[in-house]
Order: sequence, then C-alpha cells, then structure tokens
Amino acid sequence: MKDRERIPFPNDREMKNQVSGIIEGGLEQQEGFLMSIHTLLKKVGFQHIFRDATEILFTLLISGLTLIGFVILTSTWVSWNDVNLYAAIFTTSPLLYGVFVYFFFIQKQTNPAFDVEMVCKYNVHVLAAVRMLAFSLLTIVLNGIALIALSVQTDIHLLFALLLSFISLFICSSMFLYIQHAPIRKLSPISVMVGWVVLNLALYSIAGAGYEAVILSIPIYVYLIIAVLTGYVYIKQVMKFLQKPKGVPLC
Amino acid sequence: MLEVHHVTKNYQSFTALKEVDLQFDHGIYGLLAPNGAGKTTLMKMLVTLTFPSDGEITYNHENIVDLGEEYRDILGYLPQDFGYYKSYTAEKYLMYIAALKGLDKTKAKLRIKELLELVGLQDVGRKKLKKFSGGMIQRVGVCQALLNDPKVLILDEPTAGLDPKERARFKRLLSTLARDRIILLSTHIVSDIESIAKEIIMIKDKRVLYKKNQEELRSLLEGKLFEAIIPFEDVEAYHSKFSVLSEKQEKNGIKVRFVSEQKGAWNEVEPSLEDVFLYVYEEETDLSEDRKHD
Repeated sequence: MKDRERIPFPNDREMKNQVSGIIEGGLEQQEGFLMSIHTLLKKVGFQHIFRDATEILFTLLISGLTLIGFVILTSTWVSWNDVNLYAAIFTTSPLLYGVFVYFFFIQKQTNPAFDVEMVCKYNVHVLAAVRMLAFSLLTIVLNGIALIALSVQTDIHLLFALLLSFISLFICSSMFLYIQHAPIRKLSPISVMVGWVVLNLALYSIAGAGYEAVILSIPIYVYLIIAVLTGYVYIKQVMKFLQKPKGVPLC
Repeated sequence: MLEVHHVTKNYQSFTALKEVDLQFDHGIYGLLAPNGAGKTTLMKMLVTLTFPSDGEITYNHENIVDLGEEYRDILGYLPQDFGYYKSYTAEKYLMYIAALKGLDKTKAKLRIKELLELVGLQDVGRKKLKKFSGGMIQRVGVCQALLNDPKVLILDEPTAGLDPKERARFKRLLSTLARDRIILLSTHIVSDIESIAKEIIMIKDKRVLYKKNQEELRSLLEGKLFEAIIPFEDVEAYHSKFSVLSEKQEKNGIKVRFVSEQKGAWNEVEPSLEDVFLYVYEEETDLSEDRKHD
C-alpha cells in the first residue's frame, strides 16, 4: 500500500504526452505522398502500372495530336488576339486530362480482368493514383508547351496563362477524383469535364467581355495562392486512392 | 473470423439479399443455391467489389472496407466470369497478378511454378491464354486466387468448365488448403461441395435459410424420403400429393423419389444432400413444371 502511495500521480501534460505516445505507437503510420508513389513503383513496377501498350500508345497519340493541333492553331493564319484567350485557356486546360483519365476508367471497367484486379492488394484504384498523377503531369507539360507556342504568336502574359491553366486543371481533376471515390456515384466522371466547359461557356455568353475582365482583374499573386491551394487539394485527392482505398462501387 | 452482420443489399428498388448474418471460421463453406438467389452478390460484398446497403462485414472484428489493402492482402478471389488477357501467357498473367498482390518477383516466380504444377499446367505455362480450353483457364483462375496464399479464399462457381477428373483434383486441392484458412465456395452443383464442405449455406427468398453441416441438413428429410415404382399414369397424382424430387424410367413403371410427411407402403431411403437441395428449392426445380414446358 505504502509503495503505491509513493508513485507520483502524472500531471495533465504527462498524461497528454503518454496518451499521444500510445496513440502514435498503436496507429498505423501512413506513408507520405512521394513515399507512397515510390513504394508502389517499387512493389508493382512501372511495366505493370502502365501494363497496356494500347493505352500508352493511345496516350502518346492523343498527346501528339494535341500538340500538332496547337501548332496548327497557333500558326499565323489564326488571329489569336481576336479570341478571348484567357477564358479559352481557363475553359479548355482540363480537357486533355479528362480524355486520358476517362479513357483509363472506361478501359478498366470494361476490362475482363477488372474483378480480379480490383481485389488485389494494389488494386485498380491504387494504380489509378499513379496513373492520374502521370496524366496530370503530362497534361501540365502539354498545356505548357501549347501556351509557350501561343505566347510566341500573341501578346499573352505567359505566367498568368500558365497559372490559369494549372488552376482549372487542378479544380477539375480534384472534382474528378472526388467523384471516383465517392461511395455512391451519382455523377458520371465525364460530367465534371462537360459541366466545366458548359459552365464556363455559359458564364462567357452571359457576361461576355466582363467574364474575361473579372479573370484579368484578380492580381497574379492571388492566382499563385489559388494554384498552390488547388494543387494541394488535388494531391490530397490522389492520396485518398493510395491510403486505405475503398473498392469501386460497381453497382 | 469473417462475419456478415445483418447485411442487406439493394439495387435501387430490387432487394438482392436481406438481413444476412453469417460467421466463417477455418474450413470449407459451401454456398448452395440456384442461379439468381444472390450468391454472387454475397461473394462480391465479401471481396469488397460491392458494398452492403445496410449492415457490415468484418474480418477479425474490423470492417473489411476500412481494412482496405490489409484485407485484400489476405484475400483470394475467383469470380464467376474469370477475366484474363488473351494475349498473355499463363506465366505472364500470373506474374502480373502477383505484382498487383505485392509479391516479390523472385518469390512470385517460385510460387507460380509451384501452383502451375499443383493444377497440372506446368507444361503450358508459356502458352498464350487464348489457346487454353475452358477448364485450363479455370485452373489459371484458381492459381491467381492462390498466389498470395490467402487466408480467405472466395470461389464463385469454381468448377464451371472443369471435367470430372479436374473436379476431383480440385476438390482434393481444396480439402488440403482448408486446414488453415476460410474457403467459401458458391455453386449450384451439389456434388461440388458434398463430402468436402464443413457447413453448407442455403439462401432462399433473399435470406439465409440454413447454415448447417451436411448431416444436419440431411436429417431434415430423415424418415420422410421414399421411393416407389408406380405406373406412368399415376405420376401426375404423386406430383399433386407429394414433393417429387426425381423420376427414373424403369422396366415396369416409373421410379419416383418423393417426400411425404406420412409413411406408406413405400421404401424409405436415406436422404442425400441433393435431395435436400431439390426439396428446399422445389419451386425453382419443379419437375412437373419442367414436364409442362417439355
């Protein structure tokens, strides 16, 4: 009894530290974003993540066609200055990503081995995280090339145009990913892309030049902050695929 | 332990399964029901391909959806329509699935060799899957399900397309595997699970009707199953009075096997699992209905 009395009662801070220690020790540590991607590439292998040669060829073909399209469009016979360029950049930047990703999901869900792949440790959802990341990087690069090409022909502010492009891409891709792992999917993923274009066209047709004026009136540092924030949201959405991903609600 | 707690599955206004409660420990469990009874729905929920509308499924007291990759790591699944890539060889396909299961490349190669031997496909591992017969494809399916040495093995109609020799081999394989894992096998063919299943689950009217061992199931018809050779013209009368489970043409009439609550001047026979199945799903397997349609 005397021995027990000698044990000092922990204070609030000690108790808090102990509780935190127990929780930290007991809970499974989630890997960071880059570490998760690295582990996945190491465990599954690049050749299995991008297994389908047809898919890769399709991606390359789309990329090539997009580039050629932009080269043609930015050639001297197009008077780019007459087009509402910033509104067009903001509207169309996510489209290429939409094509890549939608093709991937359509291909996967009609794939005969989908059920088997979906119940593996690294299932279609986990692989999708890496693929989508690769698709967004590819889209960023291609959009960047297109905008650089455009800046040669027109007097657009390149950094501003790039920021607009990143923001719209991140907003759309985050929404796309959010829909993908919603337990009950009420919206088709493609509706995000279609909705984005329709919304922007509607705003443009209602507000006309005022729409671009609003886009132009916001200072560049605000766009920079928005780009970082939307980029962060996008990474968080990709992480949801990597950490404790849930199965695709097929029905 | 894998447990299904009060699970209901709705597809919009259609209810596929209602308030299902099940527990699985080690051993083989046979899910026996006619086509369309909800077997595949239950299996798909057990492998997280679809989710319960109500209730939950747990493995060692944790929700399998929350366990995510941890659960899939101990899971093996053979779907009813086993999909594969035709242009792949058996070895290449299994290497691909092994990678998705997170198996080390060297270990995967050894495991694939071992599994192909186990199912008798060691000589055709480098052949393209498009050249395989239905039975051979099904055996590749079994191999992919076993790659990660799963603690929970879910097999949806695994014997479809297998010839009798392959079926016998498959049953032997399952008996060996069942020692330290849960095997749930769905089928509408009684002989697939007869003699190997620890317990048999029967689903009827969207609910679990029975989860019993074979002896208990057979006892449901104990003292109620009879055989008699009757003239052909009496067959209709027997159908209206009793549950006729089978008919067989004999020299001097028709041999009918039927269930009767009262004893008569008939031969009492030992019920088999097939008899119980036919009796339980009488409406779905009604012989008189078949005859009408013929």
